[in-house]
Amino acid sequence: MRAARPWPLTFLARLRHHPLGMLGLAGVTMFLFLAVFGRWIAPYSPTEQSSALMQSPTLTHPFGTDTLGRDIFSRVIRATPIELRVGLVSVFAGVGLAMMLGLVSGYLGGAIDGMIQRVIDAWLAFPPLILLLMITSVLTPSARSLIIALVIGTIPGTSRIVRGAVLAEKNNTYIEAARVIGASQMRIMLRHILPQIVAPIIVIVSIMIPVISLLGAALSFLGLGLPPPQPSWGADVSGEAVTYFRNAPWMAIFPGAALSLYVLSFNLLGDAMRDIFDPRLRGSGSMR
Amino acid sequence: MTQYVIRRILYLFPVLIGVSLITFVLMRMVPGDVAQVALGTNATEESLTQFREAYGLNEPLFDWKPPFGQYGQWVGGLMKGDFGKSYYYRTEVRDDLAQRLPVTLELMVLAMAVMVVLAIPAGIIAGVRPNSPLDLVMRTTAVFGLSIPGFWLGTMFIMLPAIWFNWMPPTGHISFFSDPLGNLQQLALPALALGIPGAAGIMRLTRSSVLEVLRQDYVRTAWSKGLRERTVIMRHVLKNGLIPIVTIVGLQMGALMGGALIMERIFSLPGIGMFTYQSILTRDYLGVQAIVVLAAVVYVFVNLAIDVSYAWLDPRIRYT
Repeated sequence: MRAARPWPLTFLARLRHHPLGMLGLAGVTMFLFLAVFGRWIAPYSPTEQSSALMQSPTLTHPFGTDTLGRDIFSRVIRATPIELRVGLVSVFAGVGLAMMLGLVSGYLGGAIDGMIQRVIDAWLAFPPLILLLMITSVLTPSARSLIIALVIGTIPGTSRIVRGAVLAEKNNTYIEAARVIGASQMRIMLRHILPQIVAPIIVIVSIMIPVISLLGAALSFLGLGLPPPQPSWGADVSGEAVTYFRNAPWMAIFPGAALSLYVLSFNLLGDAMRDIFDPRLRGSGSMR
Repeated sequence: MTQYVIRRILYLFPVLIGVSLITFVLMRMVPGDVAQVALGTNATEESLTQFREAYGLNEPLFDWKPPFGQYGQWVGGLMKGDFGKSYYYRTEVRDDLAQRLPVTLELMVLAMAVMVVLAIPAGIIAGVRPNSPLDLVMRTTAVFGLSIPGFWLGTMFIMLPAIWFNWMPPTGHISFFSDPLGNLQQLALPALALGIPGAAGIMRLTRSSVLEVLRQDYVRTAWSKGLRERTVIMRHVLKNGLIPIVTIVGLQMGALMGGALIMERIFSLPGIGMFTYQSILTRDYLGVQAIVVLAAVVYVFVNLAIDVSYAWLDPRIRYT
């Protein structure tokens, strides 16, 4: 048997046939680059105030300045690392926890499954944004609080999907065989079922990153996400950017445009990933 | 079927107990004193004590003996249709809801209309002719629609007409029944901003659903019977392709409520979204509790309606 290539390589090889997926990868790479090297690219400090209040975009201030004379171009760039961290940490932690919950619930079944699912029922019955607003208002505003809220928002729906995948997998004969030779429950869950549900989990991650980024930005926009003076694409669209939009529309335009581009990149890459990792959808369009 | 529906409605109780307990405990963990927030920082110690006494805030949260603490009293009130009194506005929460609910409901219904009207025809056209230029245009539009944050779209919708045409939607609330035109002027933009991201998602789902159904044997049979394209698409493809779409439209109710909150804030609409937001900020527990319980009831019934509609769309699905 030929040694299997690690999936990231297979993925990159297949991605070459997805022009839009490549575009998404380029966008994501650009944001990663900005997150690492942004401090040297941004001409000003994101919190440095100046006497140039609400100046329209010029060569010295490509995106203009805000009500405190801060350079919006620098703020947009310097918001990248925190936005990426919040988005990625929330999704990976949330999906990880949801995976464990879904695995245990789906595989063990019975009373444990029933109990976990009733809790998830209640969890899902909250309108997501309202639950997250309640959680962030309990915690002190910080990136960590935002991540906690977003993780809590990721878990219920994701664990349902994982549970469904586990249920579809657990009645196969190879699971029965593993049980017959005396494999422990833990071993069956981790070594036999988990590898089978990797594909749907990768697909979930690719869907959740843009969704959770938008939700986090919405919380910041509502003033219960990233606290000022931290630059944030969500928070910078609100407040004085809205009050003074007639004098300085660029205050609201650029941070939102950056966020849109960021989410778009992840969506394009995610669509390509879904096409590659979800065999059921394969062949129904080269760039879905 | 009836038995199934009854069992599903009984599910409402564990969900409601869970949701109300979580909200009850969570809201009481919010730092800050309700009495202080309601009376302002200048309030005397005496008036604070009086306020807590009047609103029963000194009682234990949970208690085994009647009246079962603050939670028990609140649940008892709910049974009689009494949502309690807002600490901050000193008004009956029930009246606040009755006044604000129509605004949010109308916004959500209009947004749903935007979604369905834009997404389903676009999804069918794209799905029937996959990889055609029209399909590519629609799919690209959809990815953009999914990527634009609703709050930014809403902000642009209020900013750009104001800058270009010096036009802003009227603020305050105009009832549809007293001034339908003014009402629509007010709600058209927020409904569009709320509906567009959802429409993008539904369009993509409709497209893949149509693609899936087109491959089925009964569709081939319909073609070979010599039916017109229109009949095949409308009668055979659409009806069967509708199942996943119904699910997603229903599941978007919660997201739609969150989106409505954001739009109400941007467009200064006096709906329940803004009410929830303000209640959370002012630690007005009872307002938040009422909204969340209401949302949970809607959630359970919408999900039930989705499951029942499956059986209607696809008679092979039976519930026992």
